[in-house]
Parts: sequence; structure tokens; C-alpha cells
Amino acid sequence: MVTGLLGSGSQHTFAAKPQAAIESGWLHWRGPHQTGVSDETGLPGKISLDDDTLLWSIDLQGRGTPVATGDKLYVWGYRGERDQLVEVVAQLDANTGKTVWEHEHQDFISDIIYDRYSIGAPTIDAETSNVYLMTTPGLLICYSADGKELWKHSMMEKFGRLTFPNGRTGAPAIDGDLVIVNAISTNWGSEGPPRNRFYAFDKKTGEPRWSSSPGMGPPFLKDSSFSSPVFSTDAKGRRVFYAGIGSGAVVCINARNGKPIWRYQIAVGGINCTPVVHGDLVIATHGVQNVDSTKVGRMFAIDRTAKPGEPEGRAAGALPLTSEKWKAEIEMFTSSPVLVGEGKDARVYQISRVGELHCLDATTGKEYWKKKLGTAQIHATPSYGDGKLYVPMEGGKFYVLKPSDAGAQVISEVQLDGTCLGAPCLFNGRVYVFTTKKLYAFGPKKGSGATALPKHTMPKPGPVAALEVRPSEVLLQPGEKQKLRFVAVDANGFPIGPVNKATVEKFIPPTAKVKAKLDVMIDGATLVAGSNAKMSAGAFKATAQELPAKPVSPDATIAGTTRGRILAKLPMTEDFESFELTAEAKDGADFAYPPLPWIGARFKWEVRELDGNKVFAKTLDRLILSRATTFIGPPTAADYTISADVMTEGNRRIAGDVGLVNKRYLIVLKGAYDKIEISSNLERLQVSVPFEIKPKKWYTLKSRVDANPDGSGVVRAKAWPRGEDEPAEWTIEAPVKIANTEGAPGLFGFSPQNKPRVYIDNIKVEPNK
Amino acid sequence: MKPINVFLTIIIAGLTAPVLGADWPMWGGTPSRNMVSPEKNIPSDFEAGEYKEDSDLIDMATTKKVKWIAKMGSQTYGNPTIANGNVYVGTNNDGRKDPRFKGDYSILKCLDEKTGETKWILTVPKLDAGKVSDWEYLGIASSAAIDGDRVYLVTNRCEVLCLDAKGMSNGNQGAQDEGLYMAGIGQKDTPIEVDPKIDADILWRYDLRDELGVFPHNITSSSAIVIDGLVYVATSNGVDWSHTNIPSPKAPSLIALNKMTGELVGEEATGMSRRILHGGWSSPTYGKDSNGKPILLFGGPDGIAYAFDPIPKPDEDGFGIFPEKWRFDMNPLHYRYKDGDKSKPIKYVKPEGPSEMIASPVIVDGKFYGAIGQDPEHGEGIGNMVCLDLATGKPIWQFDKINRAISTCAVHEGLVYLGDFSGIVYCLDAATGSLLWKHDTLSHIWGSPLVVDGKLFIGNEDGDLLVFAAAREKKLINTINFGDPIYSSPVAANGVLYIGTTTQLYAIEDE
Repeated sequence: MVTGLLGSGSQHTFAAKPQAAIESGWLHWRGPHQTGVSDETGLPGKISLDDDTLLWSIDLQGRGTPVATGDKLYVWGYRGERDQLVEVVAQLDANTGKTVWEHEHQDFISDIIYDRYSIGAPTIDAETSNVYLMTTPGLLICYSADGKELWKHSMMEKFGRLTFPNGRTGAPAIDGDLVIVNAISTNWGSEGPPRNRFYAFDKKTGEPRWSSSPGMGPPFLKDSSFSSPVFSTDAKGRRVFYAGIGSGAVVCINARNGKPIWRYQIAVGGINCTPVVHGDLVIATHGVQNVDSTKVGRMFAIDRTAKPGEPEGRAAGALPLTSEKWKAEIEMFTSSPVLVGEGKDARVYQISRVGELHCLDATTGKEYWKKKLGTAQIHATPSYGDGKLYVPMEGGKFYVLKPSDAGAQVISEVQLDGTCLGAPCLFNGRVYVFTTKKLYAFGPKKGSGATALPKHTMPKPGPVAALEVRPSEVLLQPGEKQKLRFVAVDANGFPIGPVNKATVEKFIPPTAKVKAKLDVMIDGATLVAGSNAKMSAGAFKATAQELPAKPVSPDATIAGTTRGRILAKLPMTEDFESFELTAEAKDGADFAYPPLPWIGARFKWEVRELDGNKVFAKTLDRLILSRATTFIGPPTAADYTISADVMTEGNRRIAGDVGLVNKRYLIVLKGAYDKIEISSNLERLQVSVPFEIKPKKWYTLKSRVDANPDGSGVVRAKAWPRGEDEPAEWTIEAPVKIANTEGAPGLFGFSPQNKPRVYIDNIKVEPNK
Repeated sequence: MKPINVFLTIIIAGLTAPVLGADWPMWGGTPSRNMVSPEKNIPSDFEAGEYKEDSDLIDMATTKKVKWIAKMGSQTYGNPTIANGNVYVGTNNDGRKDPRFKGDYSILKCLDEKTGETKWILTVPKLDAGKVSDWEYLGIASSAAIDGDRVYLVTNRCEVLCLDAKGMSNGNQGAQDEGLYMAGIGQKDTPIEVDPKIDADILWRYDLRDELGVFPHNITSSSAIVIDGLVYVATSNGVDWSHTNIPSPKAPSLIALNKMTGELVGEEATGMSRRILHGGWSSPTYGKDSNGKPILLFGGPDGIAYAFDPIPKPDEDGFGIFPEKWRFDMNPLHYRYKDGDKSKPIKYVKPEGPSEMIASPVIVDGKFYGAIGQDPEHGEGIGNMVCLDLATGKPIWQFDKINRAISTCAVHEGLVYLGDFSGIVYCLDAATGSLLWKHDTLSHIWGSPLVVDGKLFIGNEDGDLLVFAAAREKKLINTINFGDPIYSSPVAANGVLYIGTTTQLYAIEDE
């Protein structure tokens, strides 16, 4: 059986060696309590580059936080420059800094600039010892402790995750059987509009389990957020998490089913900190526009038991502004608070944008002191342990402070090589910290002092209230099928047991704007895409026919939904002639929306008529959408040739860019430059040759990517005036050291300032001959 | 788009030096952009006061020598200009109580110079381009240039506006589509109802994106010079998200418009737009070289200083082009290439890499003074301050012991003052470039210094305003904290010192 592409994580599925559960470690970038605090004693007071305290350092550039357990240190960094730069995930021997295993990952297509890589961290799962990482361009990967790739998803090509020049990526978070990541996406259908979303996957298999869109869109959505989910149990017994999002809110989401519970909408723009939970308070910081003041930035504590208003669409209901129990005028965009102590004695430390470290009473918000440690600070967050604060500063200074309510005494201060952007990892008597030049390990040769991890057990579930349908999203091609599985869950989403009998039907949610159905047959619990299944998308509803436990009421209907899409199989062609232009554009033209299962197409492209032909035309009405990178096939596609007719408008001063995507390479006719360019993130790969491009003239563009046995390869493309004979030679050939082996076929269009419109027609994607 | 030949009809009114009154009618006070004011009796012992409890307003009772405070939005990058009884300042719309405008707009406020009360407001919608071309909440970052009863302004929408200094109090003149303008031309079809009591009167409007294909990077920021019938502005043409691709390499980075009609008269054709490092946020400078010849200076987005003949000459297609007099790379070779080896280019944003000019060139005594710097978001890095002979473009001295700077300098009595982005204030010998003193303010400096009444004023991101003696020896007279960051530059006019924080504009006067 060929399973659906999203059904489990794609690619290799190795059986992981069973591992004993991890008892101690700094497994997540925020440490064992999600607060930036270690319980250890005996952590070093003096940090220096002398032999007595510097255990080792290695030349690995980094901007995030290492994580550790036992003698294993897992790091995410980068090395090399320009076209040689790769992100590196590695397991090091914590005692020596020697590499045990590592994987290199190239950037692809992303908007990352200025080497802003590895801004985040791997996360270790205590139960399986697996290691989870989302790379900067969005490969979410699960590794076994011995470095085998167990599953992965290309979040960009499968879920429409966007990348941004800032590169902030964050760390996956693990709760129970789920791994959860934070992303801004423009996926398909109801998840098409840009939102900050959280995606949960089965941590062992990569199966999609839920997605959540808790916040508002533009104009509130102005940034990405690399905030990590912080888990807790709420007053109603729900397993929840709190996180900052790109649209100015801290949100509370049910961690089991992804249902948004509330949002505290205090700002416009990104809340990037990872909050801390102190009793009934969620404490967070931001550096953007407040909705209730003309001061920028704030540190604030939300009453997490407050009652939200009505949900707005799919977004959570807003808490009233009176839910804010205290606030402090501290502006910080990306560094997080550190929570030390409990109850009335709890203190929260926060570093501000202008490099001042603040100490506040976590319960009242009263400021005890502040201390200026540098000119400025961006991402780096302090860590606390053994009565000491470890504070990396942007300028490369690393401080050890002994704080009290009266102030903070500097007990050690050292200038490291590079810029500090990540939080220190405190484990086994040692301090690990990245700079943009090096990874440093400080502390004794023999690590000691590791303390046991806190334990959390899920509560006993209540009666059956709903059906969870797994996977929560299906991707099929003609000839493939996907078996659905069903789990009875209680009102809070806690699992009760499998449901073996359920009826499945196609389902159009009452809120759906496009009334569409997936072109599959339903065979019991299996979705079957016939060999001629059409490119389509739609939802399904499953209703339980027998239950493993009592329902909430005897006559309750126990049901749940999932959704899926079918992408065309190779060879595929699209000339757009079958589209009916039933919608009317602002300029009076008739148009049709793009195919529903294409990622990143809606509102960026539309089918229009031009010179008696139906063509794919770049939209020009929203400036934020002036550029489109659109995926029309599955991310696992390999060894194909893609071609299309392309055209740009232009004049003496301007012209557009139009082209194709082949295995994560962009092949673009650049109208203002009269050249054809191959790229994949312009700082990593940018090769071009002259090619005269006349405005309003159609050209045919064709590309294939060939890999050599040693892993290198050549990206090839040719272009010629449409209607003329195809030239025998390739117009451009770009050799690459590591050739991408897979990637969704796609389309690219860019109309600078929405002035010149660009067009695509007669798309063909064929297996390589 | 048709070529315009109106420059042939411009009346050359003679290159008279700007009349220096007590006003400060443009960025830098005069077209030479030298941050020096002739005002007297400017106090240095004032107090900025405290916020009223849980309020966005300052309690005036806690201030000292503060004449008035005008509430700005939440972010204020604009520098005030003062002319004919009005104070003009750019900010954002935050906290404004006009029900017609909710959310993010940029505004130019015209205030009464005596009271700080608002006379009229220009409300400019955002492009909704995201950060790449019109970064949220930045407001109007350019300074207005006032020429008689006309106000010239470059807005966040990548356009040049000519406004009526009297607002609509004398009726709506010139362009009549203010309602549609405030709604967002090309974005909304329903005009906003015009309120002649408060809305600005737009006389003409020139859209740099529509007309020239400019791709502004992050924000359009340039302060105009109005001289001899022409309005000179930079276009802010820049890179896109990738920070590598320049979408509009053929759009000019510097242009001139007819001040009465807004028609295009001249443009640079140096190819600098193909070499943009990030974006073109510098403002042009105008003056005379040692031979008395008029000269137009521009700190290019490519890190090169350019000198032009300010009178455009037609090219073969009839477009007016500024003849280039000289150019000088403000980046020493080893800033662009490792060890000066051309096979080893240094990546632009790296601390040790090359920079563009964001500050404005300053002309004093036939010399060019200016420093290179980068977008504050890029952090700190190496800088270079240069002094060039205006007649030849050759360096007289260079001072490379400075970090990236976006501060325009003040040249006064043989001394050069400026601040770098790392927060250090420098005093150099204007003749030799040798360092006389420096002072670390411990906080980023965005704005420029002002020399006035024997003192040097400069603000920083911690909200500190530092006051030094304008002298060869370092003497810190006072440090006054304003509570909010100071991004703009101190300005003096008619006996009053103006200090803008992110949220307030203070008018300070000796009692």
C-alpha cells in the first residue's frame, strides 16, 4: 500500500532502539522547569578563558542554545560562508566537544539574510531520547539519539510555512506523545490566510495531529514569532500551553487538541519571548506597539484564569485588558524572562533592549533594581542556577551575577569571541554558551550535580466527548490511499482509547468559503484516490459507531473531522483552459481562483484571460503579496523536468521576475536585468547568465536538476522565445556541491511594487528522460 | 511616462545663499546641513519632567524651563523644522483621537510655534507592503522643507508632497483628492471625509514608485532641499527581502522636481542604484565649492559620495541628468575586501564590512564632511569619517577610529562633532581629522548633534540628552534623561530648543 504523503512523516522510517527514559538533563532551551532555571548546585562562579574554567571551545557558529543529557550535548549551529554555509545539527561529547554524529542542512529558497541561522535549539524527548529540530528553512526532523533520521516534514512545502529575513526559528516543544512547532503559514483552504499557527505531530511517527490558528491576521500580524510553547495544567484541568505569537498576543491553547482557549491581545506585532508561568500568572515581555498606550514595549503578567470573550473566527476569544495583573515599562522584542523561586519569593529577571537587566517581584511586578550591562541586547536570554545569573550580552560580554533584592553583584565578566544571541545551557555542573563564532563549555572536567527532571503525568480522562481523527491532514496523489484512525477523547482532548468502527463522509464545514470536496472514494476508514483522481481538496467527518468508554451523554454524537488534498501525479500539465472565470476582479476583469491544493497560490495568482488564452496571472492588488513562491506538487517529488511559458510586463525603468521552482531551486527570468538566474536563497546560491527579456513577450522556460553519484549536481535551465524551436543547449548550468534530492515543483512571480504584471501558462512537469 | 523638458524653462534665480533667519526651515537648517545654530540663550539646566501616573502625558509641574510639550505618536523619527510661526514634525498616528484614522498611519503635524497646539495634520496611510517597503509604525521619518508658504515632504508612501503651509484654512488649493489620498490611493476606493479644520492641503503629489519604478527599502526617508525652483530629494530605492536583489536597478536614487508643478526635471544616472548595499536614506546637500560653483552632494546607497552639477542636462531621450563632478568611495578598500584583496569581498552587514551613507553630507568652507553607517537593525560595526575637497573630490583627511554612524556632523570653529551608533561622541580637529576628545554615552546614538550657544547637545536611545561645552577640551555640562528614547536631533530656532523623544516633542526656553 502506498500511504499518503502526509500520513506519516515522509522518507526513512527506522525503528528507533528502545531507550530508557531520561532522568536528568537540560532537554529544552528553557531548561527543566521551562523557566531558564537549573536546580543544580556547584555551577561555576567564575567564567574565564583560562584553562581552569574553560573546559573546551569549538569553532561552531551559533545563535541559540545547546541542550544536554548525560554526556551528550546536542547543538544546532552553522559553519562556512556564502555558498559553503550549512546548518549543522550534532551530538557532541559533552566532556570534550568532539563530534559523535552530525548532519548538515543547506538553506533553500528561504528569505534568511545575513547568516541569521540556527536561532533556536534542538529539543530532547525524555521518553524516547529522540532529538527534534526545525531547521531555518523549515525541515522539521526527528533524530534518534544515535543520529538516525526517523521522520521529517518540509514545513515550507507541505504546510506553507513562511521564512523571514530575521531567521528566528525557535525550538520544538514536546508534551506527551506530541511535538509542537510555531510557524507563520499560508497553507491551503481555511488555513490559507496568513496566521501564526502551531502544528502538532505524533513525536514517534510524524503523523499530523492538529494545527491551531489562535491569533488574528493582518494588521495585527506583523512579525513572525519564535516563542516556544510553555506547558501547564489550567484551572479546568486542561493540559494547555502558553506562547507569544506574531500578531500581538500571548495565547493559551489546549495542548491535546489544539483548540485555542484565549488570547491576551495587548499589542500589534510579534511577541517573541517564551513566557513563564507563575501561579495564576503568565509573564511575558514584548517590544512592539501596545494597544492601550503610546509607549512601545511592555513586561506584563496575565491572570490565566480570566474568562475570554467570544472567539473571533478561528482565533481564540480575547481576555479583557483588566486580566493584566501588573505591567512594567520594559521594552524587549526577543529575549525572554527568567523566573526564579516560588510564591511570594519568586523573582523575574528580564533584560531590556537597551541592555539593562531588571529584577521584579513576579507576583506584584514591583521593580527591585535594574543594572545596565551593555549598549543593547537582542535575542540572548539569561539562565539561572546555583544562586547565580548567567547573562550573555549581544556585544559578546558574558556576565555571572549574584542577584539579591538589593542589587546584583558582578562575580565574573569575560569577553567572548563573537556576538551572544542564545541562552546558556546549565547542566552537570557546566555552562555551555554559543556565540556567532564559537561554542564554549565552562566548568569542571568531570561533570557532576545533575538533578532529576520534574515529572508530569496526564490526568485520568473523563467521558467520551469527541473523536480525534488521525492524521489531521492527508496528502494524496492519484493511485494512493490513506487509512484513517480514530481515538475517543474526553472534553479536554485527553485520549480514552481507539475507536474501531466509525463512518466517514465528505464534509463541507459550514464556515468554508470554497465549497469543495476531495476526489476520493471512501472505503470504510480508508480514503482511496483513484488513478484518475482530480487535483482537489476537502474535509471529512467521522462519526463513531462504537465507543471504548461511556460518552458524555447517552445520545451524544461522537464525531471529529480531518482534511486532505490531492496533488497531480507526474507527468502533469496545466494550461488553465478548463477554468471558468466566474469571479470579478477590482479592475473589472473576470478571473478564477487558483487550484485549491496548491500551496501559496491564493490571492497571489489568478486565472485570467489574455489575448484569447487563459493564463496564470500575478495579482497586483495587495502589495504584501507582490511576490509568490507557489508549490504545485508534493515535497518528495524528485527527478523531474519542469517547463512553462512565462512573460513579464515592463518599461524603461521596471520589469518583473517570473520563473519556476525545481527541487528547491528557483529558475527565474529577471526582467530588469536581462538575465536568467538560478538561486536558492540569494546569499547561498546565485548564478546567472545574460538573456534578453523583452516586455510583453512570451518565453518558454525549462529546467532540470541532475545529481551525480558523489552528491554534487548541476541545476540546468534554458529559455527561448515561445513558438521557436527549443535550443539543444542549456542556457545556464549551475554546478552545486550538494544537490537537493527532492522538492516540490513550483512557480515563482515577483511584480516589484505591484507595477509590472507577470504571467505563466502551459505548465508541464514530467519525469526526467 | 514622457520625458520632461521643463528644466529648460526654469528661471535661474541666481545661486543666492539661503537667508539665515532665526527659523530652521529644513533638515540641518540650511542646504549645507551643518548642525550648527546661531541661536543664543539656550538653556542646559532644564528638566524633562515625569509622566503623570499611568498616563502618556508629562506632568508640566515637574518640568523646568519647558515652554510646551506636544504629544507625538509612539515612534518619532522625524526631526522638527520651524518656519513662519509653525513647527513641523513627523511621527505616527498612535494615540490620536480622530475616529477617521484607527491604527497605523504616518502623520506630519504642523504645530503653533508659540503654544505647541496642532494647526493641521497630514495623514498618510501605510502602503501595506509589510516591513520591506513601509515598515510598520515608523511614521514620517523625513523632515519637511519649507519654502515660503509651501511645505515639501517625502512620505512613507515613497512620494514627494507639496503642501500648503496654511493648511485648508485658506481653502483647498491644488490637488482636490485629499479624501481619497487619506483612504489610500490604490488600496481603498471610498474617500475619507475631509475635515478642513485639521486636514492638510495637498497641492501636488509625485509618486516615486509609479513614476520612476522605485522600490523603497523599509521606509522612504529623505529631507528635501528647495532651491532655484527645484526640489531635490533622494528616492530610498533599495534591496528587497533577500537583501541581495535590487528589484529596480534602473530607477534613480536622486532626483529633482519642479517646485511649482511637481514634474520630474532631473535625475542621477551614475548607476548607483545597481550598487545599492541596502537602501538610500541619505538626504542631499547643496552648497558651493571653493570656486563658488554650485554643487549638489549625495551620500550614495553604495557607500560612495557623489558630487553633481545641480542643473540637469538632457540626455538623448530628453531626460534631465545631473552631470557628475566626482565620486569618492567612503569605504577604504579593506572595508570592501579582506586585506584589500579584490577576490575576497566582505559581506556587507558584517561588522568589519562596508557601509553606505545615511547621515547627510555637510558643507563647510568648501569641504565635504560625512561618515558612513548602516541601518540600526544591523548593529554596530566599523565606520569612517571623511573630509573631502569639494573642488576635486580628493580626501583631505579620513578618520577610521569611529564606528558606524548615522549622525550628521556639526562643524563649528574648526571642530567637528558627531556621534556614532555605538554611542560615542567625538570631537575632531576640522583641519586635520585628529581626535581631540570622545565620550561614551553607553547607549546607541541615532540623531545628530547640535552646536548652539557654545554648547553641544546630543541625545541617545537611553533617553539621555548630553550637553557638552562646544570646545577642544571635553567638558560634560549636564545629562538630562527624558524617559523615552531620543532618535531625533536637537534643533534650535527663535530662542527655543526642541528635543523630540519617541512620544513627545519638548520646546525648551530660558525663563
